[in-house]
Amino acid sequence: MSITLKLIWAFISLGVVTVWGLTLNGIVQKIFARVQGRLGPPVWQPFIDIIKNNAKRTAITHGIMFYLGPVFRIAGGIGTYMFIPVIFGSVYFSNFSMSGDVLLVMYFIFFGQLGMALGAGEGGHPYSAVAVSRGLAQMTAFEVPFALSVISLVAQYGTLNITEIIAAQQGGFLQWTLFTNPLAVIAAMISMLGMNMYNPFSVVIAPQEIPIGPPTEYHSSFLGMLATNRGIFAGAKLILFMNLFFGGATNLFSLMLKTFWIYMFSVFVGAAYPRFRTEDSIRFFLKYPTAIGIISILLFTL
Amino acid sequence: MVNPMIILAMFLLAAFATALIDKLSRMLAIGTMYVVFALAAGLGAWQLYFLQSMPDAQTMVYSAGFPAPLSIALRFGVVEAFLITLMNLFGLLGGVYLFKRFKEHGAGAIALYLAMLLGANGLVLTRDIFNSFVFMEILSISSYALIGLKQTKNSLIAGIKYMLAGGLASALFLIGVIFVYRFTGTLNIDTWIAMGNIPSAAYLVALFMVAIGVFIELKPFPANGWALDLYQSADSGLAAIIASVQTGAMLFLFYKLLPLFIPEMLNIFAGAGLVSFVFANLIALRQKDAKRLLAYSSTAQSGLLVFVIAALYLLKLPDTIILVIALGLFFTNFFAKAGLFWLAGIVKQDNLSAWGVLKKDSGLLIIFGVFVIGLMGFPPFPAFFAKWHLVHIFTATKAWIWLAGLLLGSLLEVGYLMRWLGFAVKQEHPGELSKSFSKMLAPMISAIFLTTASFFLIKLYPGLGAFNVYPLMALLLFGLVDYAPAKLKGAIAIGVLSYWAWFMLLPSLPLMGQVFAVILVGGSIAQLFAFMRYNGAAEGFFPFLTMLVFSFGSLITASTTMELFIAWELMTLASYMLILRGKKAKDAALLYIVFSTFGAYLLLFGLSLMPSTYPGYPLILQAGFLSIGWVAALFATGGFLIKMGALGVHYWLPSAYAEADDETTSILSSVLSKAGVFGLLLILMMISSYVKSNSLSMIALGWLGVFTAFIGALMAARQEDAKLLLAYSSMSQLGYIVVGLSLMSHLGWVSALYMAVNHLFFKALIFMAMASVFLRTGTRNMYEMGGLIKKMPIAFISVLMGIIAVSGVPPLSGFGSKWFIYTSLLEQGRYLQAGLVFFSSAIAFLYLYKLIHTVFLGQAKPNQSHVKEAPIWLIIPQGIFIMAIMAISMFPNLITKPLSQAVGNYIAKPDWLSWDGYNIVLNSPALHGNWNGNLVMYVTMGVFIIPLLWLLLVNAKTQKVKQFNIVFAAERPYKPETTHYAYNMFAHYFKALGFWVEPRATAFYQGVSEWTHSISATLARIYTGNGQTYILHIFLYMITLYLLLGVR
Repeated sequence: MSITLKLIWAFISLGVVTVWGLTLNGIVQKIFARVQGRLGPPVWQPFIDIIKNNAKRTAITHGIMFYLGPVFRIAGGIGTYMFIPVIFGSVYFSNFSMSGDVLLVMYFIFFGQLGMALGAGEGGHPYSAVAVSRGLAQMTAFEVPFALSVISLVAQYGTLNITEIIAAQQGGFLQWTLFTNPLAVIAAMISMLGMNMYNPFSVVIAPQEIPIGPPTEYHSSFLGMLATNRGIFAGAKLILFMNLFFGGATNLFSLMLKTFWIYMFSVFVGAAYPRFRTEDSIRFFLKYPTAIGIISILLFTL
Repeated sequence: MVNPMIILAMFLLAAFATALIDKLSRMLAIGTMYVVFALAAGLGAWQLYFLQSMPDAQTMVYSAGFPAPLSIALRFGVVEAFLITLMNLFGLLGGVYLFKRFKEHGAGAIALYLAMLLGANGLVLTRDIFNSFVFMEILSISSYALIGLKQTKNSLIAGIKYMLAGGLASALFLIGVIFVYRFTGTLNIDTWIAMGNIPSAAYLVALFMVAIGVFIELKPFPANGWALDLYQSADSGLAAIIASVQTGAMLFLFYKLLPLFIPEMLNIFAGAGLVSFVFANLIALRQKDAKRLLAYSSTAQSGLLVFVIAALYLLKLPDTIILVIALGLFFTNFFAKAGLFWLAGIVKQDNLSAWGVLKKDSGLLIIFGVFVIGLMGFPPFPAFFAKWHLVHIFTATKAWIWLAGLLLGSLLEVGYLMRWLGFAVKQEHPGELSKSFSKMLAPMISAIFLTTASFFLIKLYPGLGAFNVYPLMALLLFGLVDYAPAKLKGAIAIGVLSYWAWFMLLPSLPLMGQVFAVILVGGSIAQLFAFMRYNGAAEGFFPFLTMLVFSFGSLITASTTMELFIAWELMTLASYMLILRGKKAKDAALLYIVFSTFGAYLLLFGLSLMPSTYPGYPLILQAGFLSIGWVAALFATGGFLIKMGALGVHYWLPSAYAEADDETTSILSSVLSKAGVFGLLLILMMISSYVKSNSLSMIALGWLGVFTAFIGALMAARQEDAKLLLAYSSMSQLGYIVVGLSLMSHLGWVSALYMAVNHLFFKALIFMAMASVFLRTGTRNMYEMGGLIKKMPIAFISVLMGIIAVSGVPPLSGFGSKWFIYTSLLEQGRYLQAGLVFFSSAIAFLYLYKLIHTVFLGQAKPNQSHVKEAPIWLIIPQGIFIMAIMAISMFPNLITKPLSQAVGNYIAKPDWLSWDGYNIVLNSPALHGNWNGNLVMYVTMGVFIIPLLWLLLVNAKTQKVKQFNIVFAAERPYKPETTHYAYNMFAHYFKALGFWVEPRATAFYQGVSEWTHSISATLARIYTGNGQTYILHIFLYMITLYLLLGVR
């Protein structure tokens, strides 16, 4: 496929994931509202927010790094997505996944987080730094079970290549990692709770305090960009999990179905549980899910 | 040939004539004395020259023309001639030093001094045992009297104690001689020797008494209280002569008697000498008084020499080898110890910490440094070669206890000598030096003589290449022009080093050597620009910097283990001096040198177990064919790991990195630590024939690396001092290199080398940028900074690039490190190690964000409003390293392919690893993966630029707001101190995981230090200062030795 065509398809695929990711976010907002006994915003509210924010005429900036923060953030989201094959077997929805393997994806996730953290840092708002320090601390902890589960996949499939991992799971749902290596999936899914920052691991975005920080400083089109990324990034992560653990997807419908239910796992847990403090979540991630991850590796090596 | 009688006659005549000449003119009397010394030294030299041209000449001379039993025999062979020359030269120097005393006290003092030297000369020459007694007495009695000349209470008491002890020793000696005569019927030593051992217990007792008489005079621990008081309270000039000439003469007498001793006796004396060496050094560790310290050190050194000659004799080594080794130690010790006593007389400060006054005269400071470093046995001083061979001999003969004692004593010695040097270089003191020409001459000539001799020694030493001399030449030449402006010196240094590296170093090396040449030498040269920022001369940088870089060169090109070790020691010395230059670096530098020396001794032992190599071909070339045993590998690895700061032996690292000058730290971290990597790789190559990735040892090494990475990262996240943070970060990064090396696979080594190159780039970049920040803000505490992005944008960009590269976030080269390390670990099935590596690399985000946020982002401090960008000299290296990072990020093949090729010469590249354009493809049975750094770069640029353009489109007219313009609880905070979230940023993290970073290493090493000092203090309590107690010590000591001898 020519590079131009590749680019065009990458754009289309990006568009799809943005729309789907934002829709999912809308659904989630709705679900949380209902759980909390509110009516909640309409499902398409994220789209409205983005359009509104991009249309705002006034904007302030604290400096160049501040200005670039959201750019880093969305570049991180798009880049992560670009390195993941979206639909198994489809040349059109494989993005630029030939650039590298799952390690590249895992590390590219940090690109946006780091850039955003720096941008928010230049804003000078203490809550930004507080949130970053919590987020980084929690991140180091929840990445451990996730990394262990990826390592377990390597022990199982002998590859880091995402497409090959999906290929290994073809041939009926019993071939999914979920059933062939359930411990690794459990470790990864718990780790995903931390990534998605819903309860009990929501202290990072602590809805009562942190929003006064970054989201207030980042307004108008900055906020629009961040909100867009929320859709893309959520979609990218879900597709990654789907590829690694749930047999990937051979068509868009299966992709939507699987990612929806993967997402719902965090949402259900998030809606049902109260919040951990940072040190508690660190301890939590480094205990049970880490132990599960190690056992899953040992099962495949011994 | 020269008749040695002339020498003795000359002294005697002069001593008697002095009284007359003094009546004429005191100056003439003193002059006559000097002439006698000069003549005697000249005669010694003449005899040396003569014997060199006629090696078979008769060297034995008999008094009055009769043969031995009837007359007294004297020998004037090579060794005697050498000693006569040296001792009389010292007599002359010491005499000049004591000029004022002679002028004051006149004929008496002059005659006594002449008599003392007469005794020493006679002791060296005579082959008659009773005659030895006579000369011993002449030597001792004149010494007591001379000590009495300084009419202070202490020196008089010390003189009495000396007399008591000396009298006791002489008495024992004489009784012994009488009894031996009873058995042998002769007093001639050679005839005794020829008669062999007489099987009689009584004879052995007699022999033991002769021996112990001499041995007591050599001041063995603990029967040496009298000697310590003597050294401490005698005039420095006199102490110098006693420590060198008197000890030398007694040692030689002891050496002459060795053939008489039965093996048990040799064993006892070797042991007693070693005990003396170790324990005297141990007690010296606690001394605060310079002369008392020198006293302990002197007794330790004479213990060492007794140990060495007795041990080597016991091992039945040829006389020439024993003499060469003993003289190597003696020569250094002779000059250095006497020189230090002389300096003590110039400094006139008893307290060690007051030796900072030496700074008032940089010449004297250099002389002091030469003596101290010579005494410790660093190359190129003769003691280094002596110790090198000693270690090899002990290893070859499996004399482990002797070896351990030798190295332990030497380590303790390094401890107190370097502490002393630290005081002299760093401590400010208002006192004055008591300088005069007569006093300055002796130490000056000693230092020049010692240095010159050492320089020629290393130049002419068989099997040492020219590269080994370069570091010393650089030190000397840049030392001579150290008054020149730093910018000029820097330019010259960069030019010379670049020329040398490009035209001489690189062509002589195989690819792997070139890789390290680029890292060590290239990396250093790029950072030399930073040192040009100093206005004025900035003394003390360039001599040691150039020495350091040249020693890197000799390290990589080393073709024998000795060359390797010399380069290693010179490198350590240069880096120590550079660390010591830091403002508050006294203690940190001491810690560094003690750990380094410990590491060097481990390495030395490891090297002594290695087979011989092919001189002329770099070790890095030979390593693929050489094979060494696992013990050698273990110890050498230990030595290299200390330099790398591996977990457990990292204790020196944070403080040394933090307290060195900022530019120096950059070199230490980014370059010097890679010398350890080089060494470790070399060792691993040499065991690669039988140690594989799945060997237990390599898995253990891997875990050590992983935990170094993990704990280093955690510790870094906890620091508030930016340099400490970066120091621990370096430790952590070096851990990854250890893991990679431990894999013993092609991919693993590529990963380690990639990390090494990368670490050089990003760590030097960050350190240089942070050096600019420290320079401008005047603080290293990150929480005292903030918002510097607006004042120092270049430094910010450097740190930003640096932290992206450290953290491994694509698209910069850091991701390559991560990709290589994970794939190499996973490919070998080291899954759990990979997991912990991942955790460590995630923790890196904590400290990296802390670094960049607290310094450059957040709220600016009002007192830093004046801060501006750093001088261009600090920016040049940053530019170089940014370009380097960008180049290897954009075009990874620039580095991955050469590294793979270099490693391929030792471990063949597996078929499953291939390059498809920029795509590195891994198709091993155990692991598939790929990484296309070039494509990642383009994709990242694409996904970054498009949103940026969009943002510029919709948000072009942003309004830039001032500081504090934030929405903060409906208020605007005007106090950055409370608004800037910086201090203890990860408190929650350490609430959860703090138990990992409790300072266990600190507790351990402080415990070791505490215990060492306590033992030292306890031992020192046996020295009560009471003469009678000291006599009791001697008796008990003698009885103990006798019982240990086990003669029935």
